[in-house]
Amino acid sequence: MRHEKVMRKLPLFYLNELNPNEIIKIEEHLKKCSVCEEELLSLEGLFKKMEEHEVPAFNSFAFERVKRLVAEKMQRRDIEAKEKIKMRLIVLVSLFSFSVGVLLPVLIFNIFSPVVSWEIFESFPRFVAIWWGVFCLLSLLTGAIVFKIKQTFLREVRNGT
Amino acid sequence: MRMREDADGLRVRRIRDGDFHAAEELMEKYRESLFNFIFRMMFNYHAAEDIFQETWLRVIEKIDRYNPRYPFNFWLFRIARNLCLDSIRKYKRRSMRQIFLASKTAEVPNESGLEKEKLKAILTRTSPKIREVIILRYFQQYDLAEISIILGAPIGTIKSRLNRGIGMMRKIWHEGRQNET
Repeated sequence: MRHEKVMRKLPLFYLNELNPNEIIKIEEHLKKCSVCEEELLSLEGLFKKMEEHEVPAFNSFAFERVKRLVAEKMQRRDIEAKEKIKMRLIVLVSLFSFSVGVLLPVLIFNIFSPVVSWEIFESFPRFVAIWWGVFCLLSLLTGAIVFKIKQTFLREVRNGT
Repeated sequence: MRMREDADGLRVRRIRDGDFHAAEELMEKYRESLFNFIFRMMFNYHAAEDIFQETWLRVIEKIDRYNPRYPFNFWLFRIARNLCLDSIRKYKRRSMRQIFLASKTAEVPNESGLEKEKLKAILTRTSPKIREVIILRYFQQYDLAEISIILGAPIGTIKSRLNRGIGMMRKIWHEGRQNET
């Protein structure tokens, strides 16, 4: 292996990141070349110095603070998760009641009617039509209000207020 | 390795179920190695402290996104690394040297202190992407395949960054020694 190539590969050789063939070739070269040998020794010296460079220990008070923040975050996460499930249920129920409110009369009247048609609504008694309309609107409105309240609540939980 | 993965995987599952003790165990386990990594990336105690805290909060926030196919520590270091890079980018206008000096309040370095500063200078003069590879390989003892997963880069790229980084460090080290003599 050429001298320049060995010099280039010395860092990976030092970290044992070369394949066995390359390692053998470099070892052979090192036996003959004092420059590369010296370079390897200097590399070793640099890494030893770097190892000696100590990292300050992480402050125990700061660590306790991190733990406390994590605990709070987990609590908020739990509440959020539960509220999200509730919110999804409410949305589902309101959508379901809306669909039932709209579709049920059509289904019922179509079962008894030989012709499948939306015109069936025209033959509705007025009070039934009003009752269904109010039911549908109320279910949607309730869903929307509850959704809004829950969203505000979740935002507050997220902000930790 | 497999044992560590399984134990951490179980802890992650417990965290998902809301068990704080599992989070505490993980925090204790990776306290030193994670802080060492962040400190060596940032060279500033307070910045490292903030990023350490942010890393764990991010872990809790995104715990559902953790992929159990990979060891937990890979994911943890990846989060920490991304936060470090974000922070370095944020402070790009202020040089890393300024950040470093800001942390050294009224501390007069002695002879070994100067040596330490020289070592820090060696690492600060390399780019963060090269620095992270050197720290993960040499100080955290991850192999190249593991580093490639943590950083999401091909092994070849990691290898070349490592070689280039050490080459640069060696050059800076030599320059410093020549200036001394």
